[in-house]
Amino acid sequence: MKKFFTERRINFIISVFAIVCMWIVWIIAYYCVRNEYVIPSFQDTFVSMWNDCFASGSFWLAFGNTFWRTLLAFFISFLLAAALAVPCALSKSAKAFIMPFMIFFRTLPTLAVILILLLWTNPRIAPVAVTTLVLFPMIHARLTAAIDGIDTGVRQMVKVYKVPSKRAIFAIYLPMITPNVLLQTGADISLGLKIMISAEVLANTAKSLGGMMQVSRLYLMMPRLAALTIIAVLAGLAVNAVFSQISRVTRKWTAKEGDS
Amino acid sequence: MIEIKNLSKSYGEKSIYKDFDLTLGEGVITCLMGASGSGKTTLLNVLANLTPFKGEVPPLRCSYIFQSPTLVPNLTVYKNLALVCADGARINEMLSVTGLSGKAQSYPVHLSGGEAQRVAIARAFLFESDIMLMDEPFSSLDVKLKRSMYELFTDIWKRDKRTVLFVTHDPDEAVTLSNRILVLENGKITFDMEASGDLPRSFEDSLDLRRKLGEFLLK
Repeated sequence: MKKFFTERRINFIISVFAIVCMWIVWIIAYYCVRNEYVIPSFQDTFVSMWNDCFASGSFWLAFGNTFWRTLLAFFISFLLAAALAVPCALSKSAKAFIMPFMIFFRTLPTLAVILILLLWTNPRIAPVAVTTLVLFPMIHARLTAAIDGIDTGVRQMVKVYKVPSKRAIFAIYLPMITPNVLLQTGADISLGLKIMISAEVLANTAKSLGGMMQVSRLYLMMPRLAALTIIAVLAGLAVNAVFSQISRVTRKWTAKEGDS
Repeated sequence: MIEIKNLSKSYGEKSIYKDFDLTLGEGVITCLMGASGSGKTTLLNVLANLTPFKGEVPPLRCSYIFQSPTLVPNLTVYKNLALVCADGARINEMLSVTGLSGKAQSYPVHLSGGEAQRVAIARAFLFESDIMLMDEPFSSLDVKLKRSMYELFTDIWKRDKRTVLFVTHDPDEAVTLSNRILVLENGKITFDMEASGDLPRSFEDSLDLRRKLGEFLLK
């Protein structure tokens, strides 16, 4: 009995209990409010999740479009962030030049940016652009910190032992920052998904999750709106879980023997 | 012979070295002692070209054993050694000599402190260098492990008799491992003693050396 209830299993059971509590709160809130347009019932939401989403071709098209745009925005952000993080890590002058731009991008009000971009571009491009603008400074800060965090001793060792630069970058520095980067990638894409959906709602992007949510709101289809919201949350969690598993590949050189 | 001439080095307004001269004999293990902040590590870093300086220091290929092993965490022991040596046979031989053959495919996170430092020593000897620099390489090890490291180090050193300059706070280490002991004070060498004899020096063989060094350090 004691062996079955390991600490990990107990924590898992507690997490499942927390989700059950959320579900109970939802049911209680529904019966307290008794207004389908405020809080939809669990049954109607579940039915809508199946009929309007999983069993619907247009849902999968919308989901695919939103997810693809999110990945595109993340990819662009990552490339830009990496391109600027390296000079920041190597040169204090470069860092002094680049940092004001990063602060500017970080403090831009997201909704205002969407509205501006809608004027300059179109409802398909604007959400990608705004998601890129939000993710880019965050990823840049993280990459700069990861590069700065490379052990000084290792850097000195590379210099003393005259390890060629290309080998140092690809065999030493990049793998050294990989665990941190992989672990955060899931969180970044998950955040990107949230921002993308918000931007699509505002831009009323056709054939997108955000667009579907906007239509649901307009026609007061609350169960459908709730179902789409839950699916968006689950998608974010799934992305986090996938990258958490991918990052385990680095455990062979980061985890001591016996670590779970 | 390695000659340092007119070395000057400051950190801000604090002068560490001013017109400092030093000659290191070829094939000699020289130990450098001194108080904290006296410039011992700075001298090693000057020789390794890790810090800017003024003066005449010959360009050298250096092996460096740092205070901590500084192994690359994502490379196995074998691949850490392969960073400095392309000859697989030499790497395998060094792994055998250092007792690390069974750890060749292990990652640094799975090594004990002593094993990691042995890898650092192996790496230093595998790299073909003009001088080996060591910055308190055994300070984090317990007494018994230190003794075994002294044996290992001198055993390998005797095979290629490389010029070595090492820094330590430990007088026992100084008298056990070196052919020449220097003490650095205020940017100058204030004690310089050569010692003959087989290395590592036993307690009995090092008595005279200990006495002279002790008299100087405790005056």
